[in-house]
Amino acid sequence: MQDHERLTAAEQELERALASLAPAAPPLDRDRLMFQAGRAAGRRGRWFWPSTSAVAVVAVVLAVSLTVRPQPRQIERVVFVPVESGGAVSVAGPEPEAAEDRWADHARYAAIRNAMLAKGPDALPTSPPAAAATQRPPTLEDLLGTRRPKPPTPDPLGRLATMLFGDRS
Amino acid sequence: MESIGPEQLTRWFDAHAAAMVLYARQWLEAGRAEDVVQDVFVRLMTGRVRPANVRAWLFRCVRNAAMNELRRHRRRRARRERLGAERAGWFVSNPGDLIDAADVQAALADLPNQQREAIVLRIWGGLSLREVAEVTGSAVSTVFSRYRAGLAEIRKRMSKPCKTTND
Repeated sequence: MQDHERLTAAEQELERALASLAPAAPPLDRDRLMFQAGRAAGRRGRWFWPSTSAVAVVAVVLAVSLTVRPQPRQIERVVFVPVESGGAVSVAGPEPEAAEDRWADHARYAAIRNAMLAKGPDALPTSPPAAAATQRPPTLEDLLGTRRPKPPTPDPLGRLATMLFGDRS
Repeated sequence: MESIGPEQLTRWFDAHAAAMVLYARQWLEAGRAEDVVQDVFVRLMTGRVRPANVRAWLFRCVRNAAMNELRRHRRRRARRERLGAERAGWFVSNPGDLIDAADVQAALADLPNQQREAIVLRIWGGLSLREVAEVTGSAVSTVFSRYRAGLAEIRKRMSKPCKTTND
């Protein structure tokens, strides 16, 4: 034995003497122990099949409910939205002519930019006519189309004549 | 998974139960030691995986269970008195024994824990030094040192010299 190779002869002799003693037999009932072990082993697997069956039932129910699931219904409702009468709200897209004008502006801008890059500042077009320069820029009311009619210009002499002679018109 | 049948369990019980009880009695009184050994066999039967080295597994489980039991009941202080008081019953005394059972028991009871553990596992448990090291969680060289020191201590404490086969 490998363990004995490093023991002295006296140690091996003592080892043999000690090994000759037999431990006292325990008062354990072997049959009772076997019964307990078997019962414990049976108890361990007691919940296996019930739990497996429960899981299988839940899986089947889920699969069926997912398979025969009804199609979602589409409900159409008419919703009335109050619209202010003064505002001109347009839900339609831009007018085709306005879109063409915008594309024409883009094309003009691109042409000017390319000419500027190729020939320098001399390629810039001549300034617009004076009439165009004096043209008033569009206001927010112009853009929204809600421009109110201009009130009549007050005439002080006319108002005075009205006050003095009454309205003869 | 290889299951453990009743016949195999019976074989292991007959082969190791006595040594396991002796091992458990290093920490516990006789009744608790037997309960611990019984629980270990029940655990072996109900375990899902069969241990690779059943013999070493049995003794390691006895050790852990005995330690837990000792810790639970806080009887560490009274252990030495109990070991001294339990003079009877560790070994079966036969006329043909090479050594006196009562003297061996007294000498073992006076040994340090680790030396006694190594000797009980090696001689009566039938474990190799490597298996003893595995059970106790120590290096093989450490176990061998404890084993030799325990043998020397027993030899020194024995009141009379060992008998030999020639006597």
